[in-house]
Amino acid sequence: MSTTTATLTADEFVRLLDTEEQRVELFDGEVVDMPSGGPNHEQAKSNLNEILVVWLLQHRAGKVYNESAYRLDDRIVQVPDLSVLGSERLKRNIEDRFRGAPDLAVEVVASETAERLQTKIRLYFKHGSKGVWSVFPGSRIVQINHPNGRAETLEQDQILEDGEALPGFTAPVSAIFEGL
Amino acid sequence: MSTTAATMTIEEFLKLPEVEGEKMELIHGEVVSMAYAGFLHERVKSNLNKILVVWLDRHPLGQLFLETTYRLDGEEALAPDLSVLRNERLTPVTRELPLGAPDLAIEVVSSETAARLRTKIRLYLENGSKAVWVVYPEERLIEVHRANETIAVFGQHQTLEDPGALPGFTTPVSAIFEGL
Repeated sequence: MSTTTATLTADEFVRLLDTEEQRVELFDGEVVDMPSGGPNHEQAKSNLNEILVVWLLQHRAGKVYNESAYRLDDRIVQVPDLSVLGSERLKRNIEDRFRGAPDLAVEVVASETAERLQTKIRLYFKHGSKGVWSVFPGSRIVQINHPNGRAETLEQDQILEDGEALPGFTAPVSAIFEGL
Repeated sequence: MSTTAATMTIEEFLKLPEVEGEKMELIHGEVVSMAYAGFLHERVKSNLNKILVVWLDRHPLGQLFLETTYRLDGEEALAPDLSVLRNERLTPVTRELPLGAPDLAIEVVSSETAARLRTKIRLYLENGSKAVWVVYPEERLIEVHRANETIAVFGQHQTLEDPGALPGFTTPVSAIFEGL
């Protein structure tokens, strides 16, 4: 994670995103590189994207976004690999839709440090997420983090559900890691 | 995180010459350098060391070890920052490194990746640890992982306990992060 020294506001940063070719986030006013994902990361992301898109279409429960930038506050912009905005959130006007954290944020873990991932999870919850899923392609594990500080580890032979973030949703964990 | 390409057995690993300033672990047969630890990490480790030594002195159900290498199986050797072996595992004639994971493994997070940390947690639990405490100095929080159970997260204003691994033990989380 490299950082530049000058700090920016979230508004300045989002304008920068339009011109920036690198994948970056804003953390405490500092522009930080996003970890790059290898083939396993991309495959798991694509699998989970499919699963979520199909389920949300069937249940008309919201939309999936890919690498969308959320302004958590004036100095923090986070870009989850995948995110879901529920139907209520989608009623907001377009300008406000990406203010605050998504209802569900999904981080497919790549090369980020453990401490950085923990910070991101905390910030998503601080700014309103109902669930944060950490997907570990290497270990084939999904960790479901809840706003109350509890978390569950789900392995390949288990069923993924998250009643708070996506009520009614279920998927076999193995489907997320298919083809890896 | 540097890795060498060749894999080796635990016997070969344990015969490796010592390298000044470098600690190694063996994960899936690969020799990996342990994460570089800053002073924040050392300070937290020292606090926890004090708390656990004092508690175990009064409640003699096991012994505390520091950066001790455990042979988990043929191709895994991990050295948690701190670990506790319960008395049942401490036979007086034990000269060899203990086989299997410690009853309690404690990892104070420094620069390691989230993915590496996740692999280690899993290996400890699969090889017999009753619990793994993951301590995040920057975030000032502690996760307690147990096999097939919800992960418990303890923040600064909470009391850490772990009836499974250390029955009767409690400490304010703030004591672990004292001085930071």
